[in-house]
Amino acid sequence: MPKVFGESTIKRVTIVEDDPSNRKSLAEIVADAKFVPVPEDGPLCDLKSFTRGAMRNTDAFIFDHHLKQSQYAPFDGAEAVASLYKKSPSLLCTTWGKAYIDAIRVYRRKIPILIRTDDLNPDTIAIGFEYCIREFESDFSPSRRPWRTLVRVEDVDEQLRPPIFYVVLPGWYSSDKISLPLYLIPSGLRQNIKQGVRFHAQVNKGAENQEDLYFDNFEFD
Amino acid sequence: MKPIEVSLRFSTSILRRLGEELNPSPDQSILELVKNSYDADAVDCTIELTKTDRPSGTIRVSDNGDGMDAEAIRDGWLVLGQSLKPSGGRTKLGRIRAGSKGLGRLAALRMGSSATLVSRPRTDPRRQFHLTINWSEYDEAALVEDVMLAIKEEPISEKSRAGTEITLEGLRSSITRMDVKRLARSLLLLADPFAENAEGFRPILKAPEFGDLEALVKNRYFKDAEYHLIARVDKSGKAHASVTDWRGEELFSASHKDLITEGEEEPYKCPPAEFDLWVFILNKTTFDTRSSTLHEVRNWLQTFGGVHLYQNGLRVNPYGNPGNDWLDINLMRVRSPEERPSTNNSIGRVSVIDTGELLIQKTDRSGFIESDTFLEVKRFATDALEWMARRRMEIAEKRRAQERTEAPKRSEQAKESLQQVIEKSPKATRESLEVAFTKYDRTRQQEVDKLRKEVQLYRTLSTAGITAATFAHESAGNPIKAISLSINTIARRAKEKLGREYEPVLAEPVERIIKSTNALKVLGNVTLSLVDHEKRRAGRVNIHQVINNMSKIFEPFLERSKVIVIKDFAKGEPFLRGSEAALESIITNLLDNSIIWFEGIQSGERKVAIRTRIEDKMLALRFMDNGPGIVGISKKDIWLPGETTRPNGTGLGLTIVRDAVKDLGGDVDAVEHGELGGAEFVLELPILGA
Repeated sequence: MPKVFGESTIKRVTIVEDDPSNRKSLAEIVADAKFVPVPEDGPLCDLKSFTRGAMRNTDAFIFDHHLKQSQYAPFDGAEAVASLYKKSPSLLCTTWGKAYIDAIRVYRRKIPILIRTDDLNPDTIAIGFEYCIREFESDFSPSRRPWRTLVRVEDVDEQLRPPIFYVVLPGWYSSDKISLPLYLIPSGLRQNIKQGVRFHAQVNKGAENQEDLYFDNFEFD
Repeated sequence: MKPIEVSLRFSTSILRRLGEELNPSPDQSILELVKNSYDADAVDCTIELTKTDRPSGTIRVSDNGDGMDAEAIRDGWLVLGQSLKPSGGRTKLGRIRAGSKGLGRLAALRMGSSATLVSRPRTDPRRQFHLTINWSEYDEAALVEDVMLAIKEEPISEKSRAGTEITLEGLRSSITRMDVKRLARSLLLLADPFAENAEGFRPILKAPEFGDLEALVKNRYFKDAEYHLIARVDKSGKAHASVTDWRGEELFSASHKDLITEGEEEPYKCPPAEFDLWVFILNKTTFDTRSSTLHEVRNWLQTFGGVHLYQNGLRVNPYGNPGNDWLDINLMRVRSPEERPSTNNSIGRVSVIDTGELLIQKTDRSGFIESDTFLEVKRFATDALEWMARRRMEIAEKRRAQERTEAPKRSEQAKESLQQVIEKSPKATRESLEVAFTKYDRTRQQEVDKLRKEVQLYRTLSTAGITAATFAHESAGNPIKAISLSINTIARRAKEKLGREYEPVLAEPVERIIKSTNALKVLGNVTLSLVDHEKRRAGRVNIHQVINNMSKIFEPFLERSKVIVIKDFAKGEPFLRGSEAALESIITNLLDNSIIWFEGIQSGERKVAIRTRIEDKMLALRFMDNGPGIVGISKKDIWLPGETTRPNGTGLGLTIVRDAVKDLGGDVDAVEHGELGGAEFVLELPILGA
């Protein structure tokens, strides 16, 4: 089921996953979705050289998030997917974990599709690529559209590693406290994060789960 | 028609307003004049205060700097808002100019009713230029340009030295003793008196307060510091640091990578800077071996302590002033007091060589504009402090380990000396003392043994917990993921190939694998969710929510053991202040306890009931089941660590419940056979509201 992005049709899909068994499994799903799987056996070089090389041979990517542990790649999947935003349709798949949500959230604005391992099947892969292509053309799905949103800082805990701050989005489910790593905020603006402070940011208010929220373009008074 | 040529003009009231608004305090205004002397390469600069304890007094600032001729006065000194700093380069003495824009100077000159400037240029020492500004003339005029000023040239003898003298007469308000003290402190700290090679600029204030402070600043007690932190960041933004002891010997050192707390090897985006911090341990024992006294050092630190900030060799106000803790040293100490300096026991300076003028001072001289560059300087200094704290913690840990091995030895020595005392006591009392002591010693030994076992048990279980968390983490990422993905592919392909045959042949075993894999995932998630670090942080904890979450997490196990949980909650959402982990430990261990004891009940329904009631400011939580109850062990012993009637049991579950309830400020009791017939635990937890 070929999808069209720009001038090219998606045929070949690069699979970036550090575990050989899982890589094989993903290749099977990709093949069942009628794409040509191109599994990357690794170890991979730096992100820029890798994506530049891979983009010459393939039309789309599937990344697992956790790639560094077995010395498979010097970068994480989230960082890679974000670097391919508007260049090549890319899906990020992960098993949920609190620690990963924080790390992924920094790049979430440029990760159109995050799929749970359980939900990976030929249909979700094909639809995922389609959503990526649409978002690249500024046709956002309701859960991904950015809105200028008021954010209130409820609490800051700099003792945690990494330091965390908690926010509430009055325009979202207001009672839900969302914990965010302080490194989400650009270093020059971090000093503004204090209990009770309100600021504006681009947030996808249509997201249903906390995990899917992204924060971008921070504006402090 | 020819256009009418006009220009913007300024009302004289603007001078008054600027003068008032840019004058943060008398000492800071005078300091502006002193900085002009520094820029003019003066070595000496004298500030005289005459009758300034009342209005109408006089201030005189004189220096032996380069001086100015009529042109320099007209085109530089009198131009407000224009930097006197020529672009690039340093002064003949190699100083980087402070570069006053004249606004601070205006604030200073406006302090009196008149300001007189007398200047002798070094380039032409036979001439002297004289200018007086009478502010009353401005008060009467409408526009600034309406008041004409005259620079008079006066011949002088060749022996006169170059320099500038500014006299402010008829002060509008008095200068208080506190102001004088602040001025003296600012003057002494201005040109980094801590540096080994000070710039050779010596401002002197002719006031008694100055003499005392000058003597104090000359006392360099740096050698009495316990630790000296030295951190440097170079041109490329790479930093390194070391900490030396009071002898100057290196204790630990750090590379850039060790220092940074965020990003990977990201350089600091700030000009080259040096950070020195001397940390003192202000107690009598430490000072017994030093040449100075505790009182002297404490006094010195009280006056000059704090971390001062120097830009191109000159101090920038207000960093390091009393009450200004710009690096949040005290805040960090409050958060984790152990092995952290405070502004009372440390002194330091951050010295930035900022030739590119990346750090910009606010016009009212209340510090730097908080630009990215300034924040990066701050990040560098804070990272260095954090790193030192981490290394010092390491030392403290080692010390504690040593104490643990030494404690038994000391205890043995104490015991021997006590026995000697008993032996020397009168015969009549000796015997009963010996008996009492032996009894005491035995009990104490039992207690020590018990505690040792408890620690060992906790340690073992912690290791088991860490291992379980690692397994959970690893299995979720690899084996479970592989099973999950593969079984889905098998099902999908089999359905395609077998068509109708799939259902009777493969559907059931495939479904079994999927279900078991899901159960494994739940196990993993439970383990990982228990070790989430945010849960150990004290904060508002919604009690009902935690009970609901925990019983939800336990659902697969409860289902397997055929246990029904009945929840009967009080109205509202009672909450307490504590850690979520503490409450989770209580619920987990009680649930776990029930599930285990139900193994002994092979028929009938297995029930657990959790009931909450709010009574005054307390929440009564009753946890009961219809299991066998508390049997084979005395009720008071169930809380003891290691006490269990179950083979391979840890005997820790209820100990943890007791400790966690205590941590939350509550109480717990048990009933052998409660309302449902089995064990019942009655918890009372103080709540903040509902």
